[in-house]
Amino acid sequence: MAHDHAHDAQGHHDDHGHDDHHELGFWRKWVFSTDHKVIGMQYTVTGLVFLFIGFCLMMLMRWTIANGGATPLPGSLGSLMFAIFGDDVFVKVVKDGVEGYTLSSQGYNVFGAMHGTIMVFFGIVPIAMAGFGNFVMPLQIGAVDMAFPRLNMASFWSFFISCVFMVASFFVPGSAAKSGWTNYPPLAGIADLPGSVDASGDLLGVWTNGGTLWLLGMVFNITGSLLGSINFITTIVQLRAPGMTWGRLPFFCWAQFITAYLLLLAFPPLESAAVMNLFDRVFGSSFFQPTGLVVTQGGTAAGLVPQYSGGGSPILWQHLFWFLAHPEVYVLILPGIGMITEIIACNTRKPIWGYKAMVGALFVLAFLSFIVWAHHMYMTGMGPKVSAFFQTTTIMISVPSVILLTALLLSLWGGSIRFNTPMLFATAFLPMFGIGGLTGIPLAFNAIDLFMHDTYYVIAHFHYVVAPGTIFAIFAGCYHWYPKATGRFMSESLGKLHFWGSLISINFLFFPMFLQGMAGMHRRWYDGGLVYANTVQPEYLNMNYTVSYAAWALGLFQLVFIYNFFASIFWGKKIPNDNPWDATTLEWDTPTPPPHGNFIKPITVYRAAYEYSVPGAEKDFTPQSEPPAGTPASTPVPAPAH
Amino acid sequence: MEIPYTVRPRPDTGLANPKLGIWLFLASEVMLFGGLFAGYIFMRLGSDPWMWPKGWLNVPVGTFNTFVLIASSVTVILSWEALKMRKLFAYKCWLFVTFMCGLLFLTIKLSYEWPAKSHHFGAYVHKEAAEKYEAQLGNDSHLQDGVMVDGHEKRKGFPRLFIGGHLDMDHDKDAMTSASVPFVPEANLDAVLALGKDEKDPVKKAKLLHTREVTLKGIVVREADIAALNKDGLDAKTKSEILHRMNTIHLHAVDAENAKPYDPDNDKAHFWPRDQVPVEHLVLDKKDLNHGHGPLVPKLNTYLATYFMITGLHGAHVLAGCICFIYFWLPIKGGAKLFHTNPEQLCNRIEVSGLFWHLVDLIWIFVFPIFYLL
Repeated sequence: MAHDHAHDAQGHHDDHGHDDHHELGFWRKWVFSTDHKVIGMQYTVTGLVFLFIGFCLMMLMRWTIANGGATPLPGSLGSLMFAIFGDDVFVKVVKDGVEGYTLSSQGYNVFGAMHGTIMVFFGIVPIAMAGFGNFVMPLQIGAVDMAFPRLNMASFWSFFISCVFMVASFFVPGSAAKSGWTNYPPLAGIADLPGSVDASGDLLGVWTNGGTLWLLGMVFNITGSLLGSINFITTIVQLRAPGMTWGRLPFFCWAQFITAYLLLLAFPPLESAAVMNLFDRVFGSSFFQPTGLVVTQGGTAAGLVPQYSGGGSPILWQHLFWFLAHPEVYVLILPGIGMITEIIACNTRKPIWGYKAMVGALFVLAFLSFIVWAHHMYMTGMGPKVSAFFQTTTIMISVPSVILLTALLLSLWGGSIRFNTPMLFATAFLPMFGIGGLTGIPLAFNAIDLFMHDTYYVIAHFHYVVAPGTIFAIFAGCYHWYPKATGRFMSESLGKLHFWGSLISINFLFFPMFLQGMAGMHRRWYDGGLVYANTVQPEYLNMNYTVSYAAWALGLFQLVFIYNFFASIFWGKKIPNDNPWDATTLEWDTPTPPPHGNFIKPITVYRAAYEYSVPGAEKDFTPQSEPPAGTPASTPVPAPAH
Repeated sequence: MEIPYTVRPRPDTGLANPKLGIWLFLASEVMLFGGLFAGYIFMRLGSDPWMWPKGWLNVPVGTFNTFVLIASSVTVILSWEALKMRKLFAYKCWLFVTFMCGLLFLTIKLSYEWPAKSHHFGAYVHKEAAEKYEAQLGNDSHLQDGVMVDGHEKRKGFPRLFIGGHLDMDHDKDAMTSASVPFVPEANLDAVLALGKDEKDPVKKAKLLHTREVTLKGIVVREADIAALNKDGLDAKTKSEILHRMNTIHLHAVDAENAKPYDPDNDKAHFWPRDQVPVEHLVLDKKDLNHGHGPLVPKLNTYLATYFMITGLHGAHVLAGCICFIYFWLPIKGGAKLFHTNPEQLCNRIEVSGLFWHLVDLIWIFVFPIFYLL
């Protein structure tokens, strides 16, 4: 490094970048890479693929919900799905003389469970946290790479193995896991039990069945995110460039820092729960199987009906699961808020309002997120004293959330806003996240939750947080940092089409669910509630059509994004310089795309993260690395001590 | 490109990267084992008071293993100290001792403690059938408290339902396997035998016949019996004999508690393990037993499930530590050879893996009392 600095100081820049290694081959450069930017892109692309798979599962589920159960899928789609997934998931049906295939009720459970699992653990977290965090965070703090590059690679490949498990689980006898993304026992202990037979008469193996593969996949997924979070925290603490004090750290890095702590401390209890559940499934133990459990399984070979010693507790799983999964909610949203903050500051051309308050809110949010988990479990009959505690902490956690949202809203005030595609998504994020957040407050109360639990109201609430919330933030981030990764812009006109189409259809998709939920419609009805038609008013049932058409429309608009994402690599407009958005943070101080080692000049930070429109300055942005006026430009900057 | 602060600490944080990294990792480990211990507490508090076993583990052996592990925590510090003083030979000696301690710990676990469980038989009798095994359980529901039986006052408190002992392997060489197969009613056996009989579709028939074969192997165990069941024209007498063989368990020795159920000595803690007592051919009917019966494996009860899971994960950590130590001990590039090029980095490696080792040690300090002593 010292050698390189001396080299740079004399102005001999090397076109091959700031790398004293020989040029890496294809495999080491793009596949088994230790470069944080490549790993970030690997995570992002894998995550986007899974986001799309998870969305497709849901679009098929919306077909049976809209059509009241067994109606053949249109055209040859049904036969195609049957050919892929087989008769564990798809069945042949006849309706009004039309013969075809559709999702079976069992398949609905499979797709429902896998939609949730894939979206949360294989879509959003890998993109928002691991993808953008890996790509942007080391650049923003002025680091050459992550603190442990090889650990970073191990983290991605551990995640990749978990992806293989999850995808493979669709193709074993009995198909994938079907106990919901929360994997609640006792069902999770006995569904797809080894030794039973599936719909087509295939015998389920000890390890090769949906439930066990789900658990194995989760163990690898958790291991990957643990390695990643250790790396993130160490990098932010240790590798900040000289002058990058905590008070100057871009908010996105703060969000990643806090999120990494949540992952580090909340995920291990789920790992231990997954190991216990694995013991139950593979060795027949009874951690989560209560005494006196009676299991009858149609089509099961008679002698192999599960025999549990009992004495276990299904509630224990719920505690361990939600001890992770509530902080996980903030793992989903905080990186998104971090991205939105960067984009809003850059496009309003003014500093973020209340930077310190926002950082403080992050800390409070992270702490409180560990003591609210049982608000997911009011239905377990925990008693008034315990639920009073958890509803109090849950109401408390809305305070830091509102601080974050308010600060972002106030940041718009008085700015001359540049409405490019990332900013459109960022602006839409605010009211959408607001709706998602505020509709959660009634759910915090025990009395209301007993009514709302497992209705479409809950679905609408958390989808408003993660879909037009986090996923819009992810889109905003893609449009915003794409020029840094590729050297080209994504198409603005296609981006605007994508934005408006998504915004409108996503609201038609999720808003009616609030109304359905308040009318008491349950979230797991395969036929969309047709069986209960005489207890649910018809207008609420008819909303199923609106919602499903909105979902398919949303799917169409995502094709625009997919085209834009890949086509722009080749045909996008080239960026005029390394800092096309005129931003202040350090990632725009690198060449485009950044080479291995990132910076071609020594980086020192002189100012806070968002010095936009500083009174008296020549231009409306002052990069963090720009020395204060009066410092001679030729002053040699000391290299960081090693 | 070179990552800064991999060896020397960063001045303002006072830490080198690996040290911060390992502390964060240890924090996550604390949460991992915290989850497991939470499971233990939940299981134990949730169990019926008389159902949580006592005295199933060999305390002297566990105590010895505890000392082995604590000693290794000291020797790893000594090896780090020797390295700091740049004494290569002393470093290698102490590190080797540490490695051997870890190995000794694992050897005792794998060659004695865990296998011993699979040589032992245990079963829980249904409450309704407890009177049938009165001589082993000693509940005496028909007697009042305070009555003298067998020279001792009748034991007060909760009903005893557990029978432990040794299987009669002379009676049946497959005894261990067949003892853990659950009770199979005749109707279930018939259902298995009928699998695929009337199926027309050849593909489905082949699958069902395969299921029949696998299932039969799972519930019948003895090969001669499977052959008999597969023969055409199975007569009722042979079938009932086979069913009887499948559904009974023969013991030739029982635990001390079951041998003298009224002895107040049973309620005391015992440092030394107690011998089993021979009995004359005790026959248990699987119909009278709870689902979990057979060797002392996780399936038997939640105590064993918790024991195997926690000691198993702890053992995996010990193994990981041993692999690290032997790697740093061997004269290879990342190991002892590093002494000649970058001794400070080797020092860091020992310090970091030593921190991990202390945590593994600390976890054992919790594991030992909650399973062996409490």
